[in-house]
Amino acid sequence: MLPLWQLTVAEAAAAMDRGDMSAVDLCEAYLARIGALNDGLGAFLTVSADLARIQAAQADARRAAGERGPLLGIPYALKDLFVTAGLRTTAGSRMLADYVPPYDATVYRRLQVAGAVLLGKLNMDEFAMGSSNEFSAYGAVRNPWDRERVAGGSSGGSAAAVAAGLCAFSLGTDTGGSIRLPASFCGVTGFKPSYGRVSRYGMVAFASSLDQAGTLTRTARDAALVMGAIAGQDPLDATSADKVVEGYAAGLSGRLDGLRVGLAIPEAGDAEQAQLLTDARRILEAAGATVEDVRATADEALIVPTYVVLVTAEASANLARYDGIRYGHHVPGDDLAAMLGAGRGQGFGAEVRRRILMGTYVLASGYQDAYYGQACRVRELVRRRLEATLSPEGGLDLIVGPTTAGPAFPLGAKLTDPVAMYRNDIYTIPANLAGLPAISVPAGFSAGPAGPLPLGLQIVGRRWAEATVLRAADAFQARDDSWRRRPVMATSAASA
Amino acid sequence: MPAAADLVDSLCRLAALTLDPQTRVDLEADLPNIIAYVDQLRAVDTSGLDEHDLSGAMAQPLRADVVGPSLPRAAILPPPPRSAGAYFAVPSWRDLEAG
Repeated sequence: MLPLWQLTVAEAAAAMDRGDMSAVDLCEAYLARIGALNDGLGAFLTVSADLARIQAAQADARRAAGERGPLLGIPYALKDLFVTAGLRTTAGSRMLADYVPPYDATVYRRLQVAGAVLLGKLNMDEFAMGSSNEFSAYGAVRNPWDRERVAGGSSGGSAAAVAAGLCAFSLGTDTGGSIRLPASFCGVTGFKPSYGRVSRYGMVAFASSLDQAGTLTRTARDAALVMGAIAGQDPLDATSADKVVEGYAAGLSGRLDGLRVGLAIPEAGDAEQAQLLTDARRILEAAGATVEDVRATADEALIVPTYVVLVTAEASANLARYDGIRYGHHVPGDDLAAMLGAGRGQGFGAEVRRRILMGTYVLASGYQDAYYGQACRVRELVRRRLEATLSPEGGLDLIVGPTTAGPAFPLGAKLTDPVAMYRNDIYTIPANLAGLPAISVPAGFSAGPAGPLPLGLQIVGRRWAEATVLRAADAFQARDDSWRRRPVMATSAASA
Repeated sequence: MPAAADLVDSLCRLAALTLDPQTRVDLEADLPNIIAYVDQLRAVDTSGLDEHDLSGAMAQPLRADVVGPSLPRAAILPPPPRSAGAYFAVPSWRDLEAG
């Protein structure tokens, strides 16, 4: 058998069902690997070893009593944006350095019911604002494929942990690409469901009209298994949808017969992107899909500026609650204005401060309609265009293209240019603006100076068509083995 | 658009943020660039569209409100930095503009 940390979720559950190993064995294998590798990656902010051992023992007891389940005893970790009762939740910020929540996020509750084992909380860009995971108050996450490069963000810890074999799966959040972009950079599978498919209750808010929880896994099959546990309406989240949750894993047939796929060819694509799309066309056609070229949806004049206005506006409103009085970083003082200003100025990091001020600007009296109102109207324009293409009338079931403009870039390369950083998400933002499900799957490698660097293929589907997106990703992975390749980690032998 | 330094001053007051000198310098350079970037949106023809069209398209039916017990305050909030009985205590507000 493979080293335990190399098993997929599906393989690990099957091994435990056969009695080849226990949940406690699997938990200990991951804890040892975290101990050996996390310092060099910065993926975990909190390791909940005691809790994990308790949950693993409980999973073994449930299995011994005859219970079976795809996530029973499977070790995982949460982006440190999901609140966990009794377990510190920082959102990657100094503002919440000591915050211990009194309640659980719905997704954590649902994973507890499923019997999954929480290993800890994962590093992230502060309040999910960033696409490189260099904006964490606790240090950057390093890419397991090349530790001098970014892991991507904002769910960089979630992607790096799965890529390095520090957990079997993780949860992240995606506001403009924060699951798919780090998944692409780290060579794992990142799935953002439709807005409303997974509860946002207990998820620290960044931009509420766009934020969505999702999965980071080795395979699309694993994503389907995790989605089976976390998807579905939640009465505690008014934006969660009253839609039937399909049997995602049961629908993975490996075939795409009858589906029409649009291949989005970037206007300024390079040779690597051209090869990625050529390979994608061949694989999707082999699976039975009809593939045709479409105009790329990444119209920068529309997409990125719209996103910047919307998320900064919503962030400035959402983060107004952090006053250091009820909770959050507190600076003593005898003047309320000075006390609030100092607490927020010290508690928030550079990118968060920048976005709060930008959001304050676009919502200011006299500017609101020109910026925020116009961005809302452009967003609706984008949504209508995508819906017209991805619909029975438009004819396409899926749009496929590169997840990012290239592989992971060196640490620090874009830190001094906010606009360049925002443009990282140009291919991923449209799915967020329209609320569509989208996945990034490993799809080949770029030749980096220190070795191969993963590339990602994005598959976008119609709203609520998670099953189709996951089926396409699974069919792709059945014919392309990029997902099997692992980064060479210097201390792998110690924890194998 | 006002001068960069005045803009940052005004926004910091509205957002209740106090910045150190280097951060101010950085933001005085960054914010005009970001604003110029999003100004591209002004050229997009959105006639016939309403700011609230999207919220209609994305909306979900709301459940009925149900009154239930609240969590005990002690379980929700850590001890505040300053308190007065059952209340949060805060220092007085000085109007900086009035001096």
